[in-house]
Amino acid sequence: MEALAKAKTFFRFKRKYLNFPYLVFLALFIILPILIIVFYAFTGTAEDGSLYFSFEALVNFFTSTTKINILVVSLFIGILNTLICLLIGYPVAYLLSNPKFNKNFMLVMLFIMPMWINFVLRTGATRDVLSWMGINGGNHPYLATMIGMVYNYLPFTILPLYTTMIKLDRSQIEAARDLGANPAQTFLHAVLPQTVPGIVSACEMVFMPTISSYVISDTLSEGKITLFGNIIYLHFSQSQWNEGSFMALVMLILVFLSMLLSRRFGKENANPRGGQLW
Amino acid sequence: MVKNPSVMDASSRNEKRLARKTLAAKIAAQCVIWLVLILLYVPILTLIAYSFTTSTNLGTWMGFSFRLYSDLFHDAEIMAALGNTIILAVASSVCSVVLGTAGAIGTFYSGKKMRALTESVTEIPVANAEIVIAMSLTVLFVFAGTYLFNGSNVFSFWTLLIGHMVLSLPFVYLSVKPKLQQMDPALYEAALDLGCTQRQALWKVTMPEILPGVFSGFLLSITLSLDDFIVTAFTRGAGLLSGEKTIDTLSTLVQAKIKKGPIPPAMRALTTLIFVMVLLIVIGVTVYQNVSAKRKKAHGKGRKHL
Amino acid sequence: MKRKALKKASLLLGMALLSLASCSGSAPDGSINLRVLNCEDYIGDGVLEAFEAWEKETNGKNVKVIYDTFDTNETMLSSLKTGKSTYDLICPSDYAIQKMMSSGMLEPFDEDGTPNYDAYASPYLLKQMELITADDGSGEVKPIADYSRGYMWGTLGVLYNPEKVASDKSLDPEEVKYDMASWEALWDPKYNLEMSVKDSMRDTYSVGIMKTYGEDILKAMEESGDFDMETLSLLPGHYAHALDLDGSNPDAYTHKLAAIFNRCDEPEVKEVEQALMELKANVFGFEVDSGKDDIVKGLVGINLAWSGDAVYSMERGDNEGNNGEGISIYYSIPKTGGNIWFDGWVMPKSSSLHKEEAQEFVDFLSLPEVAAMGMDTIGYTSFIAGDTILDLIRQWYDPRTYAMYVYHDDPEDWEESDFVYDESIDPSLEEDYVDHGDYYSHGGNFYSPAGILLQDGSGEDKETGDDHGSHSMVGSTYEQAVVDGVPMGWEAYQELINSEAESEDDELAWSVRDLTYMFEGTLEEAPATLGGIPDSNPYLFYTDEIETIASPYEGGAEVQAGREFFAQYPEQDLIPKLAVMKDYGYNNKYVLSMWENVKGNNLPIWGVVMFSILLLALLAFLLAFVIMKARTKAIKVARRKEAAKRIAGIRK
Repeated sequence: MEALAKAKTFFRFKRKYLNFPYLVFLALFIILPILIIVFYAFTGTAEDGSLYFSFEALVNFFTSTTKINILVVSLFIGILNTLICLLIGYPVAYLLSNPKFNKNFMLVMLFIMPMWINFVLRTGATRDVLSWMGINGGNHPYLATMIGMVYNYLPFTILPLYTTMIKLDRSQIEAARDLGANPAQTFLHAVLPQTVPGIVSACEMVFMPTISSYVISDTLSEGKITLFGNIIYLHFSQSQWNEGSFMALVMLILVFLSMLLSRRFGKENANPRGGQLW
Repeated sequence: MVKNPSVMDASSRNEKRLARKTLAAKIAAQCVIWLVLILLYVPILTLIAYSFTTSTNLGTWMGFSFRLYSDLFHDAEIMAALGNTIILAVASSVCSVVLGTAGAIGTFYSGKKMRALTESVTEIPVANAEIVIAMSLTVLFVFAGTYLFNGSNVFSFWTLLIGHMVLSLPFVYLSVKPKLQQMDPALYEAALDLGCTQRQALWKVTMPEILPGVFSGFLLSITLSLDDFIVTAFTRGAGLLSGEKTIDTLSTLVQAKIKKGPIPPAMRALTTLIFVMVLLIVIGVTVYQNVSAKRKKAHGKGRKHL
Repeated sequence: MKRKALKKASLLLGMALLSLASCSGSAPDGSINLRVLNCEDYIGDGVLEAFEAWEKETNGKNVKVIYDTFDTNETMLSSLKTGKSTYDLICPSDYAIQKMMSSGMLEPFDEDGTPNYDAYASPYLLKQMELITADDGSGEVKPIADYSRGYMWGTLGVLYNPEKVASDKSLDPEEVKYDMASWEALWDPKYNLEMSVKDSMRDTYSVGIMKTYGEDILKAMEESGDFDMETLSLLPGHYAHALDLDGSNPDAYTHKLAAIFNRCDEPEVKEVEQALMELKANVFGFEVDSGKDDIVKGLVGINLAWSGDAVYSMERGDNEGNNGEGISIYYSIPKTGGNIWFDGWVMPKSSSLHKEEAQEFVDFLSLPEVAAMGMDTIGYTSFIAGDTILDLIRQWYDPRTYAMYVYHDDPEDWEESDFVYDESIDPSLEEDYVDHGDYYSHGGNFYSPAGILLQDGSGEDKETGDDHGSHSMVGSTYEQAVVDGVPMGWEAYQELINSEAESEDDELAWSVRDLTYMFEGTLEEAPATLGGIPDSNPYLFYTDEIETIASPYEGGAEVQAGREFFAQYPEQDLIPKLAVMKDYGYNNKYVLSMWENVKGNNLPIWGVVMFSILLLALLAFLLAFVIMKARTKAIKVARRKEAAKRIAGIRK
């Protein structure tokens, strides 16, 4: 009798049980595939198609100056793109979120709407427009790629920044002003610290996807700039799964590093990616 | 009270100057916003403009015509792809929202360690390269087909659905979580004290509180699903409106078409239609919100919901 | 200009099949599902429906075709490798067939499984398929011809817009045309940033080979004794010898070329890598799929293109280029030769394979009428020859057609022209034609006007008059011109017109093209004795699109520049200079790593400087953040301590 009651309490509905299906899904479709990637990264494929344990891919990666170079170029473009997006997106998000300047929710939506338009069409149109202005992958591959990247990722920057900023504690800003801080000081001490979580999630939204995307760089640099995602794709498409997997693993390590960094800085990261927008 | 007129003069002058300054700032702010916005829209507006001419390329104007629009509705391939895209986006978003919301609630009330772990895993697909997600899922499905389903081909609508859910689930989770954090925990307890069962408390108290987060997660899922190419290309099988053929979405259709020809010009017309539709919805929602906000204000019991 | 006008030409049997398809209704239950995987946009409009109807009619089977498409051979192969898809028929390229065959994936075709194919496929192409071999998994080396049936074929050449290049680089268009007959031109700094090559490992590698080993190729040409080393053209009568048609000469030029063209050992790949690195510095870019549109738009002046894409671009250029004014784009296979490729149908092994129906499908596609429908829709060249294809080519390209039939180039005039609508086939077509300016290009496809018939020149509806003058051509045939009732040879007709011409522009410049390699032995009734002119030899054609370009340099032989006809069917003289690029097999990894090196890039100097500054700034920022946090914490701790002390003091 008592055992039954115990079992009953044990099996009684609790809120935390709700995440059971979620955990199963994560385990099956996120963790398991990563294990597969790790498995392929540390095996080699024999000529008859069988797999054997090997560090070939690892050695290949670290001895190839080309691959390292591609990684460096990707990191460069990733960081540059993140910075430019922040430099443009931050003021825009600030102005949009400040009721003094904008009370129109429509405007915010207008910044996000490009995301609903097919990516290939959008990139193709960007390429055409740029070429009419005399900028193309032939003569300015980096410039063209950067413009395309900023076009594509600006909405993803503005969204999290905006959602952080609409919750800005304006009394802090007033207080800073009343205490005689000049605008620069006010911004540094009262505004910026409050928006760090938004900045962090904006970086997350932009940095890794920039590195791993390849359609934009392919289209706008006319194939002259190769990013890391591109080369991973090349290996998978040529059925070189082991090398492709190892490079994917390198990317995953980068992902974990960036997650660690964002944990460090975005502790009160309460609102990533537009939590409060709608 | 008698005021010194000169002091009053000075203060009103000050005010005027201040007003002028704010006005200038306002104008400057609007300029910045609109400048960025216009620059952002140049390619899209070009697409829209060229949806009214029949040329295959942007930049060649072959006379004004609605031809592409009528072509669009006669193009069975594009229509099927559009249908597939919409069904897939809605289905994967609904599934993600159900699973993700439940997951967020469950995780929020779990132990600290469990929470940290779940959150780390959730973040992976956000930052991971799509090609890696796609490839690893494909291998997984092949394994599953070989060992669990007697070597049959499991690729179908369902694998595609799972692929899209992997993409969008984290975003639902991350949209719902902050709403749970903002919620007053006492509310739930109070409901229990008032005799609600756990289930009832969840439905009647928690859900309404986190609904905006759920909704924004849903919209983000749809956005991600609509535009995805790589995961779709790898995880799709036969089904949906494509019948016994491999499912084509708009993204995969465009990618395949450009191998042997140009981007189908009718896609420009479709883009325009989608854009206009979304714009109308946004305008509608904004107007509705403004009206209801005003009404609430008028009734003096406005409760901000956004 | 002419091809697209006469694209509206008839494909009689195809239409008959189409109309059959439309009345046959839906297939009842018990039907067989035939799963077909093909390239996107790679089949004629209406062919699938026609097959289902034909299958019911001739074999009494209800077959339903489930038709899927893939984008590249690589994605198709990797999806097959994962075991993801099961198909009855797939249409990969030459090397992919070889690869699939050597991994033992393929089911052989029955020797007599495709009688139409055997009867109508071009003898030259059949021979090429015999030459490519692979171990079929059983340890036995067999030609891929046993395991596949060819579908479409073509070449990889240089597509260029001489006017645009000339105006960009202040050159003479004739000079551009001359230079494009050489692979070296792609490396010439004269054409810096003017051309795009393919972002495709195999295609661009093949160009690298042609440049790197150009000397070896010339040497092999000289040794073979089959070529005039001044013009690099084939000596008359050496076709069979150079191609080793009887299989008796292992040292024939074609074998030597194949060996050079398929070099892919590590040191050889390294050499090509060097060449491609230089190429990369000279080109506008590596295009994925955009090249064929870019040249029409005028974004590039030169593009490395497959012949089918080239035909597409040339037609579009004529009509849409330069904002509708039209531009003339040319196609060239450089005189040292290049790559010939083909796509063919294969049947992957599986327990559920419908082998019989799959072969019937391939055989149906090999009917010349159906092949003509395919060519009409997609612009690539079919494996199949035969009378219908001969007629089609004559209608598209042969100036005799223009001389004896009336045609109108302006789509507005269609209603008044001699092309007659058969509205019983598709009444909606008429409307399409009359008000659609963009009449030949429809949603990315070549538009197939199946409802329009060209009136027979010898029939009652013939009309007199043509574009060249005011002669009546009533009664003319391809064998003989009848000018104002007087029969004469077509050469005499040319002379007559030229003698009447008021200016040089009005003169006819017909040259003769030899397509014997394509049509030999596939025609119903070929004359017993073949003459040396098209009038008496159906394998020969007149053309007016070939231009002879004199060398703009000291010395140097003249070259020929051609357009659509040339792209679809290379001249017989060129045929021995074309080679198939086989699967690299084990060496694939060298080529892959070569391609990676070519595609990868170092950060430019400004990038390095900027990157270092960025990294330093980031580090400084992080450091400042950490220090600031620590300081705030220290202050807080100190304050707390102070407060605690104070409280303690108060308590005391």
